[in-house]
Amino acid sequence: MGIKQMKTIRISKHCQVLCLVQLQKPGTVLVLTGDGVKRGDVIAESKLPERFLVYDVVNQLKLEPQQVEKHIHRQVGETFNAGDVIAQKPGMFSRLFRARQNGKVVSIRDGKIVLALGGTSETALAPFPGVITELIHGRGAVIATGGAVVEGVLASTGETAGELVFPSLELDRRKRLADADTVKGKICFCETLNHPQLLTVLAEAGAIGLVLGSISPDVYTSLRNSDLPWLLLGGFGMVELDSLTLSVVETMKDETVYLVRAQVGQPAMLLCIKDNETEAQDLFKQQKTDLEVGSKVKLWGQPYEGRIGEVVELPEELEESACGGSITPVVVRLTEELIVRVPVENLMKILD
Amino acid sequence: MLSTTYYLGVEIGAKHTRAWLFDNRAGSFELRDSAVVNSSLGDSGEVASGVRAAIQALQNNAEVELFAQGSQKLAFSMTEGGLKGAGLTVSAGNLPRTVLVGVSETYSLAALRRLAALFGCEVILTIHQQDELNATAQLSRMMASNADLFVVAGGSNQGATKPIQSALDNIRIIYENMPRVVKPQVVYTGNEACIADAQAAFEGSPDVHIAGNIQPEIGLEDQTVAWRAMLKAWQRIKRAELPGLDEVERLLTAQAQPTIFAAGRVMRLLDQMNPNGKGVMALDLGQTEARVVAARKDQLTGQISRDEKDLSLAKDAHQYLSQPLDQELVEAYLLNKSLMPDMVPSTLDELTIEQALARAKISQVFKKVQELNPIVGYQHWHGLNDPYEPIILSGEIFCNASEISQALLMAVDGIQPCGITTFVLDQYQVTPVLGALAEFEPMLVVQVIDSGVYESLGTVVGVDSPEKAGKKVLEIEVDENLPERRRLTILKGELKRIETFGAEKTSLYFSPTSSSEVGMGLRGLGGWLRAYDTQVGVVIDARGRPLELASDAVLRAKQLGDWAWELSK
Repeated sequence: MGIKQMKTIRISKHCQVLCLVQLQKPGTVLVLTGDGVKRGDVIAESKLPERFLVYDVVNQLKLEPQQVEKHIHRQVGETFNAGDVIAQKPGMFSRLFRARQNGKVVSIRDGKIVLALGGTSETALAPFPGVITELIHGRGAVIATGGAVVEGVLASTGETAGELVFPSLELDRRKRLADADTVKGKICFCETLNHPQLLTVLAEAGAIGLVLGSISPDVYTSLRNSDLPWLLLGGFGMVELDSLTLSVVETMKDETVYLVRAQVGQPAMLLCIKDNETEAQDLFKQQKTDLEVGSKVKLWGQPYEGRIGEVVELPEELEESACGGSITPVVVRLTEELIVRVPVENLMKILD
Repeated sequence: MLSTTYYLGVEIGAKHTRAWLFDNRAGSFELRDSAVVNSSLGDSGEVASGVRAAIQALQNNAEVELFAQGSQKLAFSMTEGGLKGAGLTVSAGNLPRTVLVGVSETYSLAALRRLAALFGCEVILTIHQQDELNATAQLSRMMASNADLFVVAGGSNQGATKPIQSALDNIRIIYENMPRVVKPQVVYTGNEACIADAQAAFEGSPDVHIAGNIQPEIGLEDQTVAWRAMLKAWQRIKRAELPGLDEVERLLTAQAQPTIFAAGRVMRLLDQMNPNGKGVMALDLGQTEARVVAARKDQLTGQISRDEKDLSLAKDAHQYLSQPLDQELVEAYLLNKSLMPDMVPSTLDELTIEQALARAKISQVFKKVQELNPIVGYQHWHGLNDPYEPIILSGEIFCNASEISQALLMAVDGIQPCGITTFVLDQYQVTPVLGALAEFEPMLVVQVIDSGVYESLGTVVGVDSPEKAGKKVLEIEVDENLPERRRLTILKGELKRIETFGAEKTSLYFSPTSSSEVGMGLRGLGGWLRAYDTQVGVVIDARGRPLELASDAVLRAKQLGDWAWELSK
């Protein structure tokens, strides 16, 4: 019997990727099932007013409050075009209130008229090229593709695409990146980033995105204030980036990769599309998320933070942990010689 | 013989779904059994299967047939005995993004903040009619807020109506013109003269909930009038957010309540029954959030704190480390923990950090609750000044502590109570669900609590004294029904545990020095304390307020380690 409802992380050299792309607000889906999309194509869009304007008709047009209504030329709900007269004070010195943008009257009250002006749209864009496999009515669609994938544990809300490079973080005498030429316009992989200054240096050298193994809390604070899209694969502090993740990231070196932000129900990921390597049967492979003997797992908590291993036993009895609490243990083989007992809560199941 | 009556309680949390069964088999209601399963929200994206699994597990544990035979429905009984009702509380999901609109910052917005906090709402925008914003700017901010909920109040019942009408009209504009998957809810609890306007503006929409005036007269605040409307709005938001919730409500024939609000109902009831004039408080410290509910002087205040990646917590926690560890290690642990909230500390260093963070989280949520309602009586530099008895602890941090004394010490260090108070542990985490069941059977709450569902942790006596460390602040005579009484001298800076052997056996007489106060009402005033049997005993805390911690990290670690050792059995 396995342990259900494990937290999972996908680290795979070739698998099918399904990505839900949807609007926060209801709108119109602009694609059809089977459509091929490129990165940046609009999947769905939602129309919104650009702004609201409250116009005080009484004071601006110098009208008596009781006369206001007969001088307003539009009713609530009515649309208008830029230049249309919304309200007018007649007479020798006529005063006009003209709309500067297209819009709609949304309220007339107490001598004030409220206009919804202009139009803006919120769009859901394809984060990578692929094929539309499912439509979400009024919200978006699911895009499918295949390739190498590494899911992150945390990411920025930004997305980017570009060549993945592994720069050296050595600085020259002017404290600039010695490797600056190789970084410009590229996504940089850094196994560890422990100083906020390095982040500044990478940004100044023109990096367009960062894939990070582990970072210090200081760097995290700086990343939160940065516009640079980033993806964290390991964690914070002294986290060892596991060999499996490293080996998958290495297959992406010098290839075009996509940094895809987290969506509802799916974590952020680093994707390198390799259509040719996706085998047909993989498209229908549903991986179990239960933890079983033989499952590959990633460990959290010291002293094994970030390491990966294989489950060799799932004891049914609770045990007392080294710190005194009661835990559900899982026996994990880290190396041929090293087998450890870890609380199930400190494990993530690896999906490949 | 009367047949047994059962009540079922269910809580849907972010991580776990819990179910409890209460019955009156022994003559009065008590907890019969409970079950915990992982919440299905993370796995299948809905809450119903988790609830069914929890009830099924409860049915197996308790050996009571809850599901009707061969049916997916619960076997509610229409005759005497059997399953009579169910209560449902929900803490899973996001905190509703809320905009508060009032006439003034001081009066209406302060009252609305308290109201919103009791329903676990996250206030993302406040607007009042005395600020500098013009109507266009107000609309722009509301438009950008993408709020789930608008709560409007302001004006006494004979007061001006124009500002409120204007605010309602602005909300209507947002409601009608901004596309949303789920329409925002609107609660109106202001000047009653505007109720007709509010109803007319939204044309009887089910998303608008009208209540009486939360401040009917100047200087008078009655939160209770808005509870029903807030509850309706909260339920509609949660049904839209949590797939399967409406199915659970049909299964239980009960409507969901926010966990914090349901716990508040119990606190309110206990406060009304409290004979000694002290308030009652509950502190729930989970992996991802801290909740405080305090009932005192007919006021109920609740606050949720969810600051998972707030590095100021690590800074606050650093002073509570019982191992000399770097601040960066604490920060890294806090951030890693936010990525894996269920992570269990597996080294001594991690346990140290975890417990230090717990103290900092308690302190932080108390600061927030004090800002919300000064009547709570907490000062960051002096701890909890006002009396509460008991303080009910719950949540995974306390319930999973490897030693019960560690749970008590975390709470005492975080809250820093002054005077005499008792701490109990809600180890089955039943408090909120009792609040949800109170409407069926008010006696159920009292009887279940009287049945000993809470574990008595200890009585804490906080000594407030200006004396310097090492000076005498208190003398205690311990009467254990032995020929001779024990005498203890307490020095400033000490934490002392006095073991108890039951109310009949242990009484303590306190003689504070003239400058020290032990919660008897005056400095220098002493008196007797009957010490009830508790897990840890009576804890005399003369460490000062705030805790006088050594500035050197190594000395401080030793100090904290010594205190933990003193409380351990």
